[in-house]
Amino acid sequence: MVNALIAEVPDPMTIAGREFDSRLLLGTGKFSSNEIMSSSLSAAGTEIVTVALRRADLTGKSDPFANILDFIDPEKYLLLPNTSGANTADEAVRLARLALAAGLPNWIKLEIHPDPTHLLPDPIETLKAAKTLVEEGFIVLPYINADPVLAKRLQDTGVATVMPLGSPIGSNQGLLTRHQIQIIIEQATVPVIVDAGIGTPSQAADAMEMGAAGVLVNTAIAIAEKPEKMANAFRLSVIAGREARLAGLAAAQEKAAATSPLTTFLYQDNS
Amino acid sequence: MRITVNGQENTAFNSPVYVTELLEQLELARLPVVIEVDKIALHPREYPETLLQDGAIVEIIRVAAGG
Repeated sequence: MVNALIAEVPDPMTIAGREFDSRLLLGTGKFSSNEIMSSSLSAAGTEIVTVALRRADLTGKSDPFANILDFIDPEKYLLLPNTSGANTADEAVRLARLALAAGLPNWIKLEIHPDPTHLLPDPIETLKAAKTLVEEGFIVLPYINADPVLAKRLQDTGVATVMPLGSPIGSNQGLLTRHQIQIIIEQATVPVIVDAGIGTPSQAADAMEMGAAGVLVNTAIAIAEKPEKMANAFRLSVIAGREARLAGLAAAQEKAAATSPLTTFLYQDNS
Repeated sequence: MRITVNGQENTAFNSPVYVTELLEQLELARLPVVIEVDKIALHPREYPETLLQDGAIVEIIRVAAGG
C-alpha cells in the first residue's frame, strides 16, 4: 500500500525537456566484462549510460571491448558519449562531432581534464567548448569542479545540466566538495548531477538529500566485488535520498529533544 | 603517398584512396568505427566518396567503455 502511494507520485528528472524515471546515471568503464557491465546497468535501473570514444586498434588484435554497443540497448538507455581524452576545447568539440557522426545522440558529457594525475577538469576550456557545442545544437552536460561561479557561467551558455565532482574521478572519496555543491544547487537553474568520487551508496543518498537532481556513478559499482548487487544498492540509495529530500529533512538540533513523553510513569518514592 | 592514421604512418597506397579502401586495407571495414579526416568528422555515407590525399591525417575512432 505504501509503495503504491509512493509510486503514484511521478517525480521524473527532466533534462533538456526529456524525462527520466531514474536519477542514477552510470558509467561503463572498468567493468571486468561486457556481460557484467550490462547486467549492472539493468540492476541499477539507470536510463542514462556514458561511453567514451577512443582510437581504434590498428594492430589487428581482437579487443574484448570492441563491441560494447552490442551490450547496451539504445532503446532502453540514452547513450551519453563523453569527451574524455580531450585536453582542449577544440579536441572536445571534435570528439562531440565524431560521436554525432557515429550515430550517437547529440547529448554530450563534456569533460576536459588535461592532467592525467588528478583528472581535474579544466574550467576555461570547458566553458569555451560548452559555448561552441550549445551553439551547434548539442545537449551539453559539463563535468566541472565544484565551482559555483563556473556553474553559473555555464548555465548562462545554455548547458542542460551542471555536473560538479564530489571528489576526484575514481577516488571513491565521497562528497569532499559538499559546501560548494550546496551553493551550486541553491543557485541552479538546470539539474545538478553530482559526478565523480561517489564511492558508496550512502554518499549517493547524501548528495540526493542535499538536493542534487541525480548522481553519476561508475568506479564504485564497476570494481565492487559484486557489481550487480552494488548497482542495486545505488539504485535504492538514490531513491531513498530523493524521497528524503522530498519529505523535507528535519534540521539538526544542538540539544537532545525527547521522542517519548518525559512524564513519570512509575510511582516514585521520594520519601 | 604518405598518410597518418591514428598517429602512425601509412604508405600502403601510391595514389589518393577513398576512406572505404583504407578501412579495407586495415581490416576495419566491417567494424563500427567513425572517421575524422584532417579534423573533420565524416558521416559513414561519406566514406566511399571521401578521397584521402597525400599528407592526410586520419583518426579512426570507436566507441569504448568510459565513465
